[in-house]
Amino acid sequence: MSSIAFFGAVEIGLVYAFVGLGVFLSFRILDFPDLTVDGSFPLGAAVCAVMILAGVDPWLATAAAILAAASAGLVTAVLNVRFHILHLLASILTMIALFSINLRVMGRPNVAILNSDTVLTPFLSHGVPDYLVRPLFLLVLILVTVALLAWFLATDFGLAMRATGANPRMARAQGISTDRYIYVGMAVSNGLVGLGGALFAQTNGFADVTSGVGTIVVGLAAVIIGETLLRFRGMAFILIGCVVGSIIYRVAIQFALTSDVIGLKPSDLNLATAVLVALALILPRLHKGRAST
Amino acid sequence: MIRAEGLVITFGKGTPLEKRAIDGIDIAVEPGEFVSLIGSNGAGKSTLLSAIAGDVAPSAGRIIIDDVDVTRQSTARRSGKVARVFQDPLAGSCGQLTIEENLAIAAARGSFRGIGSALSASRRAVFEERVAALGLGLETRLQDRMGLLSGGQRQALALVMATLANSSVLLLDEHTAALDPGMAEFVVKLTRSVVAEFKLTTLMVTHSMRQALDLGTRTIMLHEGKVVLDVSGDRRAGLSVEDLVEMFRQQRGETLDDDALLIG
Repeated sequence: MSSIAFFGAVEIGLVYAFVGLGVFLSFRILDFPDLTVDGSFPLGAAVCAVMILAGVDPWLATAAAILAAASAGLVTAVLNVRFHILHLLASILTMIALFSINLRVMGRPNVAILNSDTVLTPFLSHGVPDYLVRPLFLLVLILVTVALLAWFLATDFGLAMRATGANPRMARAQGISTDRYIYVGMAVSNGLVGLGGALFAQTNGFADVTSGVGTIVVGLAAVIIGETLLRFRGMAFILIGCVVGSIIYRVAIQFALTSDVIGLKPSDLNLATAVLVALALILPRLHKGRAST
Repeated sequence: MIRAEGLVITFGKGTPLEKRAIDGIDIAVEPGEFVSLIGSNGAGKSTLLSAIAGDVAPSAGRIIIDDVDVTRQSTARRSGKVARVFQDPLAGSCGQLTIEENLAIAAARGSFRGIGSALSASRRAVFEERVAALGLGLETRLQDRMGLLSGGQRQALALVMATLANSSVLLLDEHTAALDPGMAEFVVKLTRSVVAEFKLTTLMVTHSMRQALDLGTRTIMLHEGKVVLDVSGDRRAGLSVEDLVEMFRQQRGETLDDDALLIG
């Protein structure tokens, strides 16, 4: 694997690290399996790309992408909490709806922003090669996000959110209005995924309506690989685990797809991801089963 | 102070499985009173507790806590006044969170949960002091996950959690039933001292007649959703476990006779 391909893998890993953090929030903290992300990731990309094309400041466009994705998460949460639709089904409904909405937002299946200014533009062409600037920029952004999330989850509010997912009955007995925390948590989770989508559009130069397929599985892969490889306790380290997991996943996939030995084609990406996540879910269980007998 | 007025709770209303779990209960528990609630399975003890906590909505009647009508308030809203310890030691705390995180969640009960650090130095100092007072040596393990502790240790901590925030009512739902005898005795002692120290109005459901008489100042027996015995003071002091068991039998016997009549 060439160094450009390697840093390319790291870069895409860092973009999907935002998805990993979002999925961690819904899946692990709230115990809410949320497929909305398959729609909110391209939504973030679409909103950001369209606004950038319209001449809006790229930071503002990114913020709008976060808000749009967050409201998608909120819709799923309302369907589940307010109308008691099973969480998985509620999120699938939002995801399906978002496919149409994303087409509406863009007006066509994909939008290119290759020649437009992005949040990255001010940092490019200073002598450092682009393929290094992009991952460095993303690294700074993800570290800031991890720090903010770690702080948030250690506040009274964040702790109440963790109790909501871990033991809702106890949470209510302790005066926690669990519904409210699910709303906020789902909005923040999808907002992070939307941010990932917006950064995807800006680093790759396009937004595509199909780019969301399998987002949930990629996010899960990041979370699970992080948990399996780095057995840390503190919240900040668990979050960093999601980021590292996302990068490792991308580098591994890149390696598998480029090495001729295994004989995989780029179109095998989703299959490889699904197998990887399934294995990561099965292996700890097998281990536990052996330990208990 | 807890008051239930004309309380009726019906499960599965309008279905063939309709059941009146609480069938018209009027009780007033004075501030500082410690009531032990007994009765056979299905008598309505736990339902009454759940109704006071807010988990079950009454079909009729009112529930008043500290002069406030809480009948229509959610569990979360009234939790500032009501602390609760469940029968299942796993139900009262989060196994995935650390001991101190669980304590922090309990410490914020009834107050606004903002974006201040949940584990401030001042809170940690309080936690350490309160946990050390248990004498279980847990004060050195505050950063361990709650899931690593035994049921008894978790139940002892649940009692600490119940008293970290100011509440006036304590609900205990067979909170020693799932513990081994030694630990159960420890938790009973702890209950006594906690209730006395914080002057809590307490309602304790128990299946142990001995516990019902030993603990508390008043004993109420429920049967088929109604109060059939309500004793305190001298009359209660004169009761033995045998007397209580006999009354208990009588209640159950009566239903048997009723059923026999119906079938006959």
